Amino acid sequence: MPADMILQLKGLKKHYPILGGVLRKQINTVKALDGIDLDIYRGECLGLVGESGCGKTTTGKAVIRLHDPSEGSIFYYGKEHGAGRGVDITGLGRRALKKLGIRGKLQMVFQDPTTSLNPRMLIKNIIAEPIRAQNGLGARQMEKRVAELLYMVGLTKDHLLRYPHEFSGGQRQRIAVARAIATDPDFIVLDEPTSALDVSVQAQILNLLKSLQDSLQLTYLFVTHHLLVVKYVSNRTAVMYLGKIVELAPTADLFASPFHPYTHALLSGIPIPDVDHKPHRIVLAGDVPSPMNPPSGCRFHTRCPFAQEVCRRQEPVAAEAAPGRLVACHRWQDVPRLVRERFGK
Amino acid sequence: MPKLIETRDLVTNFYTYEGVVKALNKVGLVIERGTTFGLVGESGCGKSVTARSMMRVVQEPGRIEGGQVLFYPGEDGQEAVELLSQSEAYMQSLRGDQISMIFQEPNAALNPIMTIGDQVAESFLFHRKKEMCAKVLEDLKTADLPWPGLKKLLEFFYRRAAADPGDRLCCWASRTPILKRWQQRLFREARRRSVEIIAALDIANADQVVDRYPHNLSGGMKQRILIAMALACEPLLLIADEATSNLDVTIQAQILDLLRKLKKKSISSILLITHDLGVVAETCDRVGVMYAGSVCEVARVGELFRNPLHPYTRALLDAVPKFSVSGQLKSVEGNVPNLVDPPSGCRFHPRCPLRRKICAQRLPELALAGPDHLVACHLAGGRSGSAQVWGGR
Ligand SMILES: Nc1ncnc2c1ncn2[C@@H]1O[C@H](COP(=O)(O)OP(=O)(O)O)[C@@H](O)[C@H]1O
Ligand SMILES: Nc1ncnc2c1ncn2[C@@H]1O[C@H](COP(=O)(O)OP(=O)(O)O)[C@@H](O)[C@H]1O
Ligand code: SF4
Ligand code: SF4
Ligand SMILES: [Mg+2]
Ligand SMILES: [Mg+2]
Repeated sequence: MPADMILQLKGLKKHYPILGGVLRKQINTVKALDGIDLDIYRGECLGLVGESGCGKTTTGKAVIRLHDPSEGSIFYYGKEHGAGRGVDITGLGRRALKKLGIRGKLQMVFQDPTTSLNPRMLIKNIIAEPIRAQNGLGARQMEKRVAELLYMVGLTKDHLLRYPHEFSGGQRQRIAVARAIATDPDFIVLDEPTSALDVSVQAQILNLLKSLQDSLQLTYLFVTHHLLVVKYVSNRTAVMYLGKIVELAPTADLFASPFHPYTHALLSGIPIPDVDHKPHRIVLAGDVPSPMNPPSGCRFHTRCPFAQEVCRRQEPVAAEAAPGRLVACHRWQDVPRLVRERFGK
Repeated sequence: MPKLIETRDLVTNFYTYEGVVKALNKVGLVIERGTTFGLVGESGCGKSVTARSMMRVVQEPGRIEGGQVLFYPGEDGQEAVELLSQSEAYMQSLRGDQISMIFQEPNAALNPIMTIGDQVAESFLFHRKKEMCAKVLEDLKTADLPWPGLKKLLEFFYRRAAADPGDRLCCWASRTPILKRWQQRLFREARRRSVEIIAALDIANADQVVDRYPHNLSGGMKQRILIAMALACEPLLLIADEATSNLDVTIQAQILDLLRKLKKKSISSILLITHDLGVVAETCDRVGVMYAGSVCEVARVGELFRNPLHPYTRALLDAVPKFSVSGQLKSVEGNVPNLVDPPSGCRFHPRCPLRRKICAQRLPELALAGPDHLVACHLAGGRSGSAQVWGGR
């Protein structure tokens, strides 16, 4: 993995106000992100996993500046700014981003290909839209460029003059990918890009994304709740729980020997499509607590089988458990032993 | 194992504006007693329609056009009831009692303005009225009542209701002010049973949960409540249609764990419909794979995963990311066909890497290709020696 950084998130927070009452006063906040530190390296695919509502999409949207974080900062280290020279993009608006040439460099592909494409626009225009905003190509060149993009995602020129509803879910996701790569980006947030698709189509899209990453030298933030997909595509994986990153590790290490109890539970909970695999399941009690009133101390303590008094009082800080591995748990050193004793793994 | 339910050549069509959707193309399945049968396939292949046809709850504009659904209520699996020719009243007494169904979308199945307890109790009141009246009658013997006449009166009503749940006089009394209070004890009994069954599903404070409304509960909790409702009358067959597909991994693990426990305790069979091969591998005994309205392969779960014979099954297994294997995922080209105008012959032939001339011309029948292993493919079975064609696996 190349060592140079492309994006850096520092203490990122996003709190959504909850309004209530007749006067629409703020009565509470949803702490969707509550202090996230994340370094993303050029050329990698960083997986971001966690259960729904833990803040994965909010993280992705913050990175490409679809909303303003409440606190913290985001640095972008573009090639054109020189090695190691970051730009703080946290507070920059659309116009400022465009002026710095950053806007087209950061892109996003959303989960639901049916709602992310405008149903009244021709495919040609959907894909051309982001480039049109960027540079003034002539109509002929534009069409050529769009056809080229379609070809890159496995579609053909014949699809130019059709509407989104004429395509299957998988093809629509290909169109969304074509639109994302149109501006020649450095970095793409893929937000559950295959979660709405069938397995055979999912495999097609995953392979497409992998080959595009190689040929265009892209960096991905791959957001999903599907752990086996993350295992297939990503180099490193970050595990989120209730607005925090609880563990970060190279994907192979994470799957081979997780440290955090939540990661253990997640991994043991995946139904494995293999009859010779006998799971040692760690079934967690209860539901994910509401991000409005997250539990004190370690947020996982209400469901953690190994919680102690200290977990309720004090929030664990991320510790470097091994080179390149971070874990936020008071008892991470004991966890493998505890899991073995309690669940016989 | 004796059979519990069986479909033969089931054909269901939907008459839509775009044309006739030929959703089921002669579906034949057998579910045995005491087993969990998994039905897998990609979306739109007809899994839900199969289940709905079995229970005769196909949505508009669908019609069951042919075939048979045979239900074997007896222990030995000998005598069959053909469900498609039964009256709607018979089906109603069957649904929720001997066969129950839970769906993917719990919000659609729960009534938002009724408490959880009332909704669970409803299924007891519909199917178990007789039994519960007898129970109340029993309790009345030892009950202390303010005056003896009341006891007589209550006993009168409950005796009649226990003999015939649809008793005219009781129904009339239930609609008359003051008199309708005779039912209170029945309702209390239904509620007691609701709390009991909810508590049995590992839900803490069941006695408080029954007084809540669906919107106060999380997705996993709602799915448990639906399971509670489905299990209320200890059905012979539980149909779970993508019951865990919308849930998070840790919650799905809870629900699958629960189903496994319930399966051990009560003998009921489960028809588990899912698109997730992982869920199938872990929870099912036998598996049927569907593609575009046809069943293409049926086998025991170990056999299916180790020795898949149908090209579509192999394609599906190759396409899922796995835990222990890395390397490129193989993917089949193309998409699931439109069922208004399905491909001729074998419906998989436009995408099949092994297709022959005959595949486009003739529909392959589901036939034995090994012990307890059914495959619908022209290349399978003893005829052409499938193992050579595919080079083993
Ligand atoms: N616009 C919004 N207003 C209020 N709350 C929101 C908004 N967007 C997301 N949330 C809340 O923030 C939390 C995290 O959401 P999200 O990032 O979408 O989670 P994920 O993508 O991991 O499922 C959730 O509890 C969600 O309800
Ligand atoms: N209410 C309906 N109206 C029209 N077509 C329907 C309806 N329900 C199902 N179908 C069609 O029947 C086929 C099978 O659907 P279904 O059984 O729901 O698939 P799945 O395997 O995903 O459960 C699909 O092609 C679908 O278009
Ligand atoms: S800090 Fe405590 S509660 Fe949190 S994961 Fe570690 S052991 Fe469990
Ligand atoms: S019958 Fe022919 S097209 Fe169908 S699965 Fe078999 S080989 Fe393929
Ligand atoms: Mg999301
Ligand atoms: Mg379905």
